[in-house]
This record gives sequence, structure tokens and C-alpha cells, in this order.
Amino acid sequence: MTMIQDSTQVTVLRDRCAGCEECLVRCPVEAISLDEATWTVSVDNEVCIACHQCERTCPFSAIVVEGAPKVAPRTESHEELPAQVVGSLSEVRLGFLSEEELVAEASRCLDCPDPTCMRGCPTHNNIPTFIALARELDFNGARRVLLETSAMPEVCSRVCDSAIQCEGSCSLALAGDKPVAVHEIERYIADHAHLELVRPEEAGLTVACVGSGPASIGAAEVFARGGAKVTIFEKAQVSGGLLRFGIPEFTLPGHIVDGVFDRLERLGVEVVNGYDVPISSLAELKSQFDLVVVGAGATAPIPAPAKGKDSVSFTEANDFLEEAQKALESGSFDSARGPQLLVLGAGNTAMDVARLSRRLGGTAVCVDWMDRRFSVVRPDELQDAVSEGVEVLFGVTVSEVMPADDGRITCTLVKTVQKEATSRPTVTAQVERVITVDKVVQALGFRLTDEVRSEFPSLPVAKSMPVLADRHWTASGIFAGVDNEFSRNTKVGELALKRDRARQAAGFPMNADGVYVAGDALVGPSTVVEAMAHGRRVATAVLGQRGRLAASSLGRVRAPRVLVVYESLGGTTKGWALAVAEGLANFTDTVVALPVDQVEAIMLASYDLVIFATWVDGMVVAKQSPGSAMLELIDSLVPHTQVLAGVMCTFQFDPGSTLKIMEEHLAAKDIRTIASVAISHREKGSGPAAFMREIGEGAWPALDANGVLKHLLERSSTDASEVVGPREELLEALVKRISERKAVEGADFRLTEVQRQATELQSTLDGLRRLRKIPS
Amino acid sequence: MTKVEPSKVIKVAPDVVSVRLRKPIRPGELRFKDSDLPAKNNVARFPLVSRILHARSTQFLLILPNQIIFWMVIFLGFLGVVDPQINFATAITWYLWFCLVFVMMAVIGRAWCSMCPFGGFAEWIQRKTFFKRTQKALGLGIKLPESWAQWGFVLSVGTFLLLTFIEEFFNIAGPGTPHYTSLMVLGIVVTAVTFFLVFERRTFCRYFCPLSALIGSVGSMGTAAGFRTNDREVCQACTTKDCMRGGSSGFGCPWYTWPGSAESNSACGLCTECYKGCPSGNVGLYVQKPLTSIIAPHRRRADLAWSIVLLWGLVVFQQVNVTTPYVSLDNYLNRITGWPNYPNPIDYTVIILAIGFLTAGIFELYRRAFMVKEMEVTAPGSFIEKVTPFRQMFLPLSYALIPVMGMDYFARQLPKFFQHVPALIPAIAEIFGVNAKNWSLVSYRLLSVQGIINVQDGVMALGMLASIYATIKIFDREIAPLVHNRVAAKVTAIGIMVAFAAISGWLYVIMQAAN
Repeated sequence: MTMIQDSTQVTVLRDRCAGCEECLVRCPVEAISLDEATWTVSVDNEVCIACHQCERTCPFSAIVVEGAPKVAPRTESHEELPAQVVGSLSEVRLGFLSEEELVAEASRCLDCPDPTCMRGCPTHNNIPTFIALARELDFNGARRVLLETSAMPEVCSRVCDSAIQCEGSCSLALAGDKPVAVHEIERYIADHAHLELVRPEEAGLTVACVGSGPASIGAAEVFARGGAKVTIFEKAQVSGGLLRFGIPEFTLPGHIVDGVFDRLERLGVEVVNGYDVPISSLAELKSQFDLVVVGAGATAPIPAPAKGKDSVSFTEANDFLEEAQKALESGSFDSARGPQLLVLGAGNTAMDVARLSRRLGGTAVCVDWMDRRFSVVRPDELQDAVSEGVEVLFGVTVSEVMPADDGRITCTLVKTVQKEATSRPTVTAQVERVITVDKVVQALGFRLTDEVRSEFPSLPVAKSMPVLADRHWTASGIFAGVDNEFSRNTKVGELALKRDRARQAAGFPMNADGVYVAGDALVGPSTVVEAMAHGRRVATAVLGQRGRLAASSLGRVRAPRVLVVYESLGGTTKGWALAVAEGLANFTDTVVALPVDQVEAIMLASYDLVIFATWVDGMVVAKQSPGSAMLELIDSLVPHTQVLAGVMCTFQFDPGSTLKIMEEHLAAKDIRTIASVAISHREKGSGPAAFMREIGEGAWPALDANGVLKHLLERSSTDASEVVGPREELLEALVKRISERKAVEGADFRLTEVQRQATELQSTLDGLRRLRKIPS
Repeated sequence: MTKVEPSKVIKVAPDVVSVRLRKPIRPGELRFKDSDLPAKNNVARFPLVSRILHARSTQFLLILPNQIIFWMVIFLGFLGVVDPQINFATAITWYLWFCLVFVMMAVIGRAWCSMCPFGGFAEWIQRKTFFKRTQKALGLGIKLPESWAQWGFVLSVGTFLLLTFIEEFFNIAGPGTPHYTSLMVLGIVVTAVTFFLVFERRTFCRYFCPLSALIGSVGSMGTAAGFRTNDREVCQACTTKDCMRGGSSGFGCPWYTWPGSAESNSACGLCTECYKGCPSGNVGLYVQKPLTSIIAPHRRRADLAWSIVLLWGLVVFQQVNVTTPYVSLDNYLNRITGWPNYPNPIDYTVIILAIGFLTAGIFELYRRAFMVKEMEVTAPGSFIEKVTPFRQMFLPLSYALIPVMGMDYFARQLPKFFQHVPALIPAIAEIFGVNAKNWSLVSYRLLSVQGIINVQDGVMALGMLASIYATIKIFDREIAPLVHNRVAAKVTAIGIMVAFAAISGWLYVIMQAAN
């Protein structure tokens, strides 16, 4: 393996280079400079390490990089298959065994300014930062970085399919090389750091998590750190859900899972095992808690189609995994009479079933009806399984089963044909072989239970690619990677964005009661890290909306995060929308103003107040209505978004029923409109002051007079009509502040800045009083 | 509503993943000082203009009438009357359109490109829509390789020379047989569609359209500065570059131009896509004083400079080709090479190249006479990027030649316009079956021959004055620091431009005498 090459040649197509510097701001090694005379970039071949990120990110495809990345060879981690498979519980993958190995691998990280690995990670771990700290052997610091995005790095680093996630999205992988071993570094940090957790002050919010798998763990950890009182209900006698029984000990040792729950308990999370919460009785649970998060997984197995299956009994993979692990841990199995299995499937679960069977002294044949080239099997798992004596057949399926002697099952295996990755395999009549086994284990995947589907009919949330990919993701170059054997030629960027859109969807409650769903229960079968990221998303969305101090009342205590969406034909609506946005921006930290075609329903989970501004479509004085794109957006909103709305339109002659139509469509989505205004094109005045006031009264929290005061003190003019917020509280706060200022004035006889401000505040106060009496 | 400065409103959808991009390099104060335009020059600040530019159908509506006309040209060239004088295809193409195109490029810039039916038609196919924002293009979407792209506008000059040769050979624009005009137009459409289906964006328009270099150079005289940034800081801070990559509302710039660094109108096709696509509303449509895009750019492009002298070579050839010495030479070469008729490819190529290189040679002599040795800079690179002492002088001087060259082309179209454009009315009547060949309009002349010569010389005088102005401005900023004896150098540079314009004006007198 030779990775270091000196023959890097970067060509800038100067005819096409526009000097936009997209490459320059993203180059990890500062090899790119700008020639100010021609306003085009140049690349220093000596400095360039050929990560190809500039090539991937150039909007005009004006850079060509030749040569492989000039980085050291990847430090491979250690793996130890048991010499004696039967009865073995020892962990197979061992990761890095020394700090030298860790530092060597960490040194390969380019610390990219726009790290695509972070996008590839389903929970967006700050990978370059924790790697940089690990390189300095600051494991506690690195662990604190991980804490911001992950509740269980020690688990994720053991079970994630990193080849198509963070590592597949590494700049080096996108350039066709072997990526930085992110997972091994993460694992080393997680295993070697000592994390001091401080139990936060209780804030009164109570949260119930149904299920104790990754989704609940993710939600519980963030909620608990936010001061909420979290209770996890697990129907099994041991907590951990899928982590405990779905993943064998040799991949994820039980003590690792114990560690995760230890941490949660230190944060004050209560775990109640052996307590089943039927999905149909969530309302009852909700009556006892402020919020309920359902992380019950997708546990309904996909049945295998086979002739004669009614005459025999198939074993579910999860049942086998649980029984086998228990038998292994207790040693209560007869290795001389281990189970002989036919495992249907070749995914993670199928491999785990087969390998556990071998550990029990049995045999296993896995059949995957997909062609080897298109199979979802992880190469490393396949290799390990085969090494341990598992037989895996691709392009084969079971066509018929029938009872045999002694309760055994005779299975006829036939060949299938699959020509393309996207095509469904065709089952042929050609018999591969006929085998007789003790059990047929179904490991073809899972789906939502009927119980979940009936309670939440809109589930599962589809992981879909938008028509136009997120522009930041496109700009990062994550979609432009070359085929890479390491990442199994997967389109890692598309995969990551689809995942992320589902993650964002987790921020919406599923019903008006405030019940959230996360993990496999939300999207169908996914991965451990995705489920955890969903849980975290639920918690951050809730805490973000309300603020931790609001826990007791569930009311907002922060100024709202505002999204102004506008559909403008000629710019008038846009102008007013931006004016309103600018006005509101004086009183809150987050105001985003976007044209309607750049807004998607899933974005609303990150805002508390949405102003919908539209032009008036129609026949000038008849059949007026909001713009069609605006109505489409409103109609696509997820119910129970819990945002507040303001609606505005600009009109030439008559707005007709435009505002009413918008309000009705919003109401159909349970969104309350707190203010509305129609602005004439001839309006030249100071703007919709009354509208702003109503917005302030309706959306700003009662306690947030500070933002208003800050605004008034920082500005040279104090126009009371611009002040947003509840008048009573503002008046009170202003009186208090003025009296403070006067006190300062009394201590200093010179005319000070403070004095001037106090005078201005006084005039504003008068203005506010006037405004209350005479609304304009 | 009082606006707070700087704005605290976020106008690009926030990124869910935090990034730590390096800070972009800001231009120095002087870098775009000459080409940046004041806010009052932004016509998009008027709501009506803004509304028109935002509408996705705008360019479609500009293209549609021309599309109808040129498909009529294609069909009527084959099916209409044989007399080119009153055939709609030939009459509208050569008596009106070609002249109008020059007016548009000299006065506005790439106005024609915004309504061109050839690129427009091909783009409809490539985008699979008339005007909607689609996300997936039809075709292979190949990038033009650097080995080709580095020649920039020179490629377009090559196709223009080829097309002109074909036109001269078949006497298409004479105009000769109408169906030749139809075949030529059809050929351009087919070529455009083919290129649009093979290459990405408007590779055809940018590099291969026969008129691209001509419009890109002569259009620099025009008053449309094109779409530019309102605030460069906003463009530099933008991390999505929807104007280049394409966003939800607009396609990425089909011409490979970024409003954030545009300093000339030569590669802005006025297609409005960046205006529509900018999430920050930071793009405006700017107007400028005539000649600004000749004088103001700091980046002088070698491909444009060589295009200018080669196009100058072509237009002078088209003046020389009616003189007796040329006719004798052409006949002689045809006899010895067996070439059937005018123009012989050897003299056609050699004369054009000779005039082009002679012009470059005159600039080089000028450099040798005046340039200070210490100011000479040499830097290797591809055709488009290398720096040599020759280029230090050749590039700015060739830009200053644009008005003379441009007006020369314009003047050359005038006889057909003044002598034949009234025939367009009977040509239109013929479409509806009216027998109009005896109408007096068919032979009605707007101006006498002497009148036309006077107008042509007037146009050349205008071109000369414009070149003098451009030379003075360019000299003061770019050439003066390079030369000794600045007064003499300045006068000589002006003298060269005057001489070129005078030769051209004189050739018009010779041409009419020869006719």
C-alpha cells in the first residue's frame, strides 16, 4: 500500500475561475492563494496534499487535481478472532492498542475547514476537533467534545458502519483513498477518558421515555443535562433494548452498555425496567409527564416468503439472539448439540445470529437473495463470520420448507438472478441445495409494529432526498466524491442528507399532546447512532423552543426564534418582509428571512415564530389569494409544529380574503395566527407598527424586557412604535431602569451618556403609554 | 421601519453542521474601484424592473419572438420565393437582423444573447423546460477540457471565421439563394443543440458561438454592465454560491460568471439567473457609461485581446476583398489550387491572420519603443494566464482598439440596411401570398451611395473618437507606469488608433468605388 506520492498536479482552469474563493476557504493546508490582479486562484503544488476538496467544491469545476492524497498510510486497528469460537464471549474488534497507534492515525486527519465527515456522521460529531485533542492525548477534552453530540461514543465507535458514515465522508475517502480511522480514535477516547458529569439543577420539566434503546438514551441524556427529570420505561427486565440483546457480546460487551446507563443515572435519569407501556396508552403516561418520547424501535420482523412455511415454525432473529446470549453468559448450553441454523438474510442481524450459533457449537448457513455485488452485508462482518465457520450464500433464497424428523426442517434453496443494484432479484427454479436444519431464523429486517402504525398513521418518516439538496451540503463537496471501495461505492453524501432530514423531522411532536417519536419507531429500521441522534433532536428541539427555565410552565422564556418566509413577485412583499425581519431582529437573536422556495416543512422545528408574507395573487380586485407556493408550503406543514404564526400580504388595490385564507390553512395545521396585516403598495409610512406590536404581545415572553432595553440603549433613536414585546412588562422594566439611571445621574453632576440614555428612555416610556391608548 | 445596520437578519438558510471556513481574501481598495458601479446605476432597484427580472418567464418571452422569426426563416428560405430580395428569410436576416445585432452589442452589450433563439432553443432542450427551474439537465453535461477552454473567445473567433468563409463562399449574406440562409440558420441550431447536449451549461455560447467573441468584445462598449454584486462582502461571505451552483429559484450561471467578481460585461449573458438565484437578494442589474467595460477591467484577458485583432483582421479583409489587387490575387490562387471560386481559403486565412498579427506587431513595436526594461514581467503559464512583456502592452492596447473594430463591423452592415431594408415589407407581404415583387419598396433606397459612405465614415469617426478616449484612459492607468517619455508614448498610442480608423474609413471609399 503506497499512499504517499509526490506527483500532485493541480490545474486551475483560469478561463473559468471566477475568484469566488470557495476552494480557498475550504483548503485544509492553505495551499491556495488568490492572485488579486486576475482575481483567480493559484495552487501551490508543493503544499497541496491532493485531498481534492477544492476540485469537489468549485462551483464552476475550474480546478483539476491529479494524484492521490499525500498522507501517511492508515493505521489499521486490531482484531482478534477467538481461537476457540465455541463458548467465546470475548470482544473481536479491539481497536487501537497504544497511544502511538492513536497518534499516528490522528495525524492523518487534515482538520478540514468544511469537514464532510461531520455531515456524514448521523449525529454530527465534531470529528476534527476531537481528533485534534486526541492527538495531543487530551482524552478528557476530546470526550467533552463528543459529549456535545453523542450520548454513547463508546457504543457508536463499536457498532456503527463507519465506512458509509463518517469515514466514508472523510475528505480522503471522497478522494478515493482510505479515510482516517475516525471510529478507532473515537473508541480510544471513549475508553480512556474520565468524564466528570455534573448533575444539573432541576428545572421542573418531566419527561418519560418509552423504551431504553438508543433513541431514549439520546433523548434522556440531553433532557437530563437540561435539567429535566427523565424516567425511562423498559418492558424487559434489563435496560438497553437493542444494545443489550440485539448486538452480541463479542461486538458490544455488556459492561459498555452498563457504563452508558451509569452515566444516565448520575445525571438523575431514572430507569424503570419490567414496565411495559402500550403505545395505545400513551395518553395516560402523558397525563403524568410533561412530555413523552417514544423510542420503542421497529420490532415487527419482515416475514420470509416460502412455500410450506405454515407447516413449520420460523424463529425470529431477536428471540434467538436474546436466548443465545443468555445461554452463552450463563454457560447453559450443550456445545456438542449446538443449533444447526438456516439464517434468512445477510445483514448485521443475520451475521450476529450465525456467529452466535457457532459460539453455541452449532452451524449456520446464511442465504441472501441479493447478488454478492449488491448485498448490504458489511465486508468486515462477512469476513469475520466466514473466518468463524459461517457459510454465506449470495444469490440464493429458500423456496420451500417442510417438516422433517425430530422437529427439524427441510429447506429447499434455489438460486436467484439480480442484474442491477436497484432491481429486485428474480427467483429461479434452479435448486442450489436441500438442507435440513434445527431452526430457520428470519433476519430479513424489521418494520414498525401495527400498534405504532395505528397510533401514528403518518409513520414511518421517509428518508428522502430533496429535489434540490441543501446548498451547504452541496458546497461542502460531499456529493462529489469518487467511487471508493472502502465505502463500498456508496453515495455517502446522499445517504447522509437523507438521514439528516429524518433526524430533523424528529423535532416535531407526533400529536397535540406533545408525544414525540424517535429512532426506528420514527423511520423504520435504521442504526444505533441514527436512533440516538433522533432522541437528541427531540430534546434539543424541545429545550430550544422553551428554554430550560420554562420547564415548569412549558411557556417560552426566551425571545422566539423567528423565521420570515416570503413569496414576492416583484420585490414589494420581500421588501416589507425584510423590514419586519429587521424590526424583529432588534429583539431576538435569531431572525432568518427566506424566500418561500427555500423553506421546507422540516425546517420549522427550529423556529418558534413564523411570519408568512405573500403577494396577493388573483385578478387584481377579484379572486384574490395568497401566492401558490406559500399555500403549498403551509399545506405541507407537519401538524403540531407548535409554532406561532404572523401573516402579512402586500396588495395593489384590494387584498380580498388573502389573509383569511392563510389563517384558515394554518389553522388546519393547528397553527395559531397571532397577528395579521395587509399592506398597500402605496404604503410609505413607518410600516406595520400595529402588526409588530401584536406579534410582540403574542410571541415574546413576558420576562424578556432585557432585549428591548438593550436595543433601546444601543440605538440613537427611541421610536416607541418599533418596540416589540408585552407592554405592561416593558413599562415596568423601563421605569425600573430609568430610576436606576437617574440614581447614577444623581451621583454624577456632569451630563453623561447615561443621562442622555435615561432621557431617551423616558421619552420612549411616554411613547409606550401613548401607544397603549391610541393604537395606530 | 427603521433599518438596523449592519443587518442582523440571516438571509441564507442556516447550516445544520457547523463549519470553520477560512476567511476569504478581501480585495484591496483599488481592485474593483474602476469597475464597481454606484447603487443608483442598479436598475433592479425599481420595483417594476425587479418584478420582471424575478419572473422566470422573462427570458422565455424575450426568446420567443426571435424563435418564431428564425423558424420562419428556416421554413420560408426553402418554401418562399426564390428572389432573395423579397424572400422573408434573406430580407430579415441580412437587411435587418445582422445590423440590429451590431446596434444592440454596441449600445447595450450582450442583449442579443439574452434573446438568442439558437442558444435559447438548445437550452430549452437541455433544461427540459421553457422557463421553469428544473434540477436535472438532459445530456452528458461534460466540462470543456482545459486544453480547449484555455483558448476562451479565440475558439469563437475560429468558428466565426469558418462561418464567414462559408457565407462568403456560398454568397449567403449577399444575399444569394434563400435556402442557403435557411441551411445556415438550421446548421447553427443543430450545432447549438448538439453542444448543449454534450457539454454543460452554455459551453456553446461561451466558447463556440460564432458571435460570442464579437459580442463579448464589441459589447464592451455597451451600457449594460450586466448583473453585478450589490455588496461584495455579502457575496464573499456567502457559503452556498447559488448564483454559481444554481439554487432553488435560479440556475447556476450558464456563462461561468460570478457577480461577485465581474468587472466587465463581456461574459454576462444577461440571462437573469444569478439575480433570481441569489438567496440574499444581493445581485443587481447595472448600467454603465459607454466604454466602461473596455476601460475599467483590471484583468485584461489574452483570449479577448487576440480575438480583437483577429476580428479586426476579418473586417479589414471584408473591405479589402472588393479591391482589384485582391480579386487578381484570389483568381490567381484559385487557378493554381483548383479552388472553384471566391474566396480562396489560402488568401482568406493568410490575409486575416496577417492583419491580426500585423496589428499585434505594431503594438509590439510600440512596446519596444517606449517600454522601460525594468517594468518587464515574465510569468509562465497556459495561453490564458502567462505574462510576457509583449502582453503587458498588447492586452491594454488591443482593448483600446475595440471601438474602431466594432464600428468597422457596424459600418460594414450599413449599405445593406440603407439600400435594402424597405424590401422587408414586400418580403413580409409575400408570406401572405401577395405578389409584391413589383412594389416600389423593393428597390427603394433609404440613402444614396455617397450618403452611405458619409454615414460609414461618420461611424468610423465615432469609433475613432471612442478609441482615442479609451486609449487615453487605459494609458493613464496601465501603460503610463510602464513607459518612458510618457507624452510621446501617449500621442503615439492615440496616433495608432487614429491611423487604424482612418485606414478603415478610407477603405469604405475604395469599396464603394470598386462596387
